[in-house]
Amino acid sequence: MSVFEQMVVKIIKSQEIIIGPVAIEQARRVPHLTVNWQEEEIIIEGDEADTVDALVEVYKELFGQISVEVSKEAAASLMGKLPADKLPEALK
Amino acid sequence: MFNKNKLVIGSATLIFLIFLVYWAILAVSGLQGDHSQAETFSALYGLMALFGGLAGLRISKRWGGFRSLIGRAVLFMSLGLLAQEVGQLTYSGYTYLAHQEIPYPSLGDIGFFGSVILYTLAAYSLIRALSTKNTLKARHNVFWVALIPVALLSVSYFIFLRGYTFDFHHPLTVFLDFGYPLGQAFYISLGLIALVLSVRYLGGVMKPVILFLIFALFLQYIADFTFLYQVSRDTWQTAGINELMYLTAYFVMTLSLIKFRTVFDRLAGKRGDDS
Repeated sequence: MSVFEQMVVKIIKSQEIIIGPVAIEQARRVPHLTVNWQEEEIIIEGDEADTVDALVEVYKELFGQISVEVSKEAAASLMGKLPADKLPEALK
Repeated sequence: MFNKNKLVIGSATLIFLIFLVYWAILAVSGLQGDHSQAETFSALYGLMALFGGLAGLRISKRWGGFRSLIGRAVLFMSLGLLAQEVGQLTYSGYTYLAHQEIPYPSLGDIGFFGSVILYTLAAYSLIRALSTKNTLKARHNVFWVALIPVALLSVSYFIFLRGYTFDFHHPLTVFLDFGYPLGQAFYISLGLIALVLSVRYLGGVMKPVILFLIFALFLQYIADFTFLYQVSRDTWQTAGINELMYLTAYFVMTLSLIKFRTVFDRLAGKRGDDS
């Protein structure tokens, strides 16, 4: 799993703690993102950083800025594994 | 297409209006207080809480029930409503079945005090859903998190417990005498902290839903506070203004719980036409 896909897993898990199964359903709305949550299988088929941004945006539409903060905290441990120019905008 | 959400809202509204009209008739006819009609109203209007509680239990499952923070908030609010009804029914049992004045403390306090604990758990779950490690540590939030409970607990102590005479021959009475005002002040403190966090950090589709839930909790607190105040001043009346406040609080809380279902169905692309 790529760093971005690991990020997606962490973000979905952190949102799932708050909103339960709605978190997974919302993730499935994100274009270019395939979610098989039972297997914790995530596949990003497009620009990875843009897909993470789109995922955070979907949660932001639901819960506002708190969703962005939760996503940032969830992905914090993985941010150091990416070069600065590859970081998703939403998590900066 | 059949819209189940509208049916649930319509049913809740109908129950509320029936009891509102019932209350109004009692008020206009001077039948509040020590009248059998008033006692019948008092025994029955808790059906509003029963309806809301049962609806809320189903709705909480959609949000993950106990496994998610929003699911827990809805679950505990629903259980709080059901606990209120347990209290109401127990009180009615004393009146109609045992034909005795309601003692204090009594079995009814299991329900009523239970609801205080459950509302506290609901508000706490909301705070956890609306905060992160960083937001809670922020100086301006720490200030409110500290100030609100201290202020409300102090006010409750001043109004209800100043000059209190302890009688340790009745420890349960002492516990409840402190537990009710302070417990209620505590759950609304948590509700107000959730409100501060909501205003600062909450947005999106869920903002009005959460704010409405906090408002419903606030109405419940007003009803609880008024009950304690009127009882302490010996002005409480069966089917009086306080029971109307409770009826209204139950109704608004029911609507606030149904809104969680409305949002869930909208997110899922449905129109509330399934179970």
